Amino acid sequence: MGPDAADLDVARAFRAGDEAALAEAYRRWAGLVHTVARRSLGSAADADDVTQVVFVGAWRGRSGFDPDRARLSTWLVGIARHAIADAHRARVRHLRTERALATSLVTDPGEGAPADAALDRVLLADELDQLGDPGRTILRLAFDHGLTHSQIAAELAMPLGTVKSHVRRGLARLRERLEVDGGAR
Amino acid sequence: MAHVDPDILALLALGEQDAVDPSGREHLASCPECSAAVDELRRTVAVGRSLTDDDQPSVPSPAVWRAVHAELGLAPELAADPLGERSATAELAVGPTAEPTADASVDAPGPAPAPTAPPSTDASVVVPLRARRPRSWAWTAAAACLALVIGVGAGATWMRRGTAPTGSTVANATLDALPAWPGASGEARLEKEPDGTRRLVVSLAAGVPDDGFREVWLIRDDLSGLVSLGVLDGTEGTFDVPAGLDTTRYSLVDVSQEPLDGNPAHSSDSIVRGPLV
Repeated sequence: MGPDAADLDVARAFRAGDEAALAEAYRRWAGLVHTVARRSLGSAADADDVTQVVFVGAWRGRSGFDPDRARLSTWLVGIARHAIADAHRARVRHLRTERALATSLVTDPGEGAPADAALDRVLLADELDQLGDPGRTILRLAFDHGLTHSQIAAELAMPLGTVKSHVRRGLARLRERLEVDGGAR
Repeated sequence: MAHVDPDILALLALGEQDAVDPSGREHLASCPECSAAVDELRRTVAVGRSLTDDDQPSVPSPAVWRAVHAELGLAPELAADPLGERSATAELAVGPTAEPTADASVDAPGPAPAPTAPPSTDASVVVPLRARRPRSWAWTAAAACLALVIGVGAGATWMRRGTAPTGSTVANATLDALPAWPGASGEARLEKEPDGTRRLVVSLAAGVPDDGFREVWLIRDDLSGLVSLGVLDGTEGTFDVPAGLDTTRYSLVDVSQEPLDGNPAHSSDSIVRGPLV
């Protein structure tokens, strides 16, 4: 059973109201939600607030989630993006009232959703973590160190063909994750 | 003409232009499908290459689950933070040091090593993982998974053992159990012949599952690579160390439990591990 099948089980149990599935979803994706929020809001405390809002909101709104049409992670990231946008707007309001500044001086961030590129990076980092070794190590050698597949094979004492197929499978999975959950499209 | 092998397309996306032969290159130039596939993968590679330390996954504070649990009135048995265990593991994996455990060196003759002593500056001794760890966060995550609790092992065993090397023994390792293998232990000894050939003698005390086998590895101190030395049959084995392998860098002795799945890679299920010193 691949990770996707396991995720689908969690998603279905979540939709059905199984509280243990909520805990499992939290275990699996709270870090992702938190990271996306922290990258956008620049504050771990605000990211904590967003994470709470997202999981409480997701549980209460689970009737609106269809596990056969969307991944639970995708749905949670979608809720997170709304919550992050709200947090940005709340900050602007806060600035306006607290400092009583002329509204013209307050720069409305306008966006609110995390920058798409930042979201993509967080998603890719998360998926890379899910890959497991040796795929993850192989791709990191290629990404961070710019090694060719034959250098990687030598480095890890692995057959060329094995490295190649890990590169292909790993990249395909990362691409799929960006396609499904990513912001830039 | 046939499409270009997907393996090759992936390598092209990583910038390995030499991966494709002339006929493949010709095909690519005229095949929208293949070139679109490369372009899409290139975008993925660009994101992968842009990762920074800031993209390192972060963990919500324990207060968040408490608040979720209270706000939704969840069952009492779900009160524990689902992330509790994982974050503790992560801290162990990358933390500076752990409390030294009872160590084999305790009963060894000679001066007792001070648990808090800084790593030796002797050039022949590898420095602890933490100091050598590359900046990239990627490796800390790799450490968390591949190595699991190297921080613990390092804290406990990056000390010279009390026994002086005798004869042809040039380095020793005390192998400590990983959390999934409580009670396991082992020793390794690196021996050198006058002609320069080196052998690693490994002994392991651990419960034996019904299937699979044990494999002995030397892992680089920054976890960026590993070399398989062979299959450990029984509780002790002697393995040739490839000539030219720098054992001051490939300094972590690792014994893994491997499934019979035909996959030559490390299973990530390490039984014991320890640094050669």
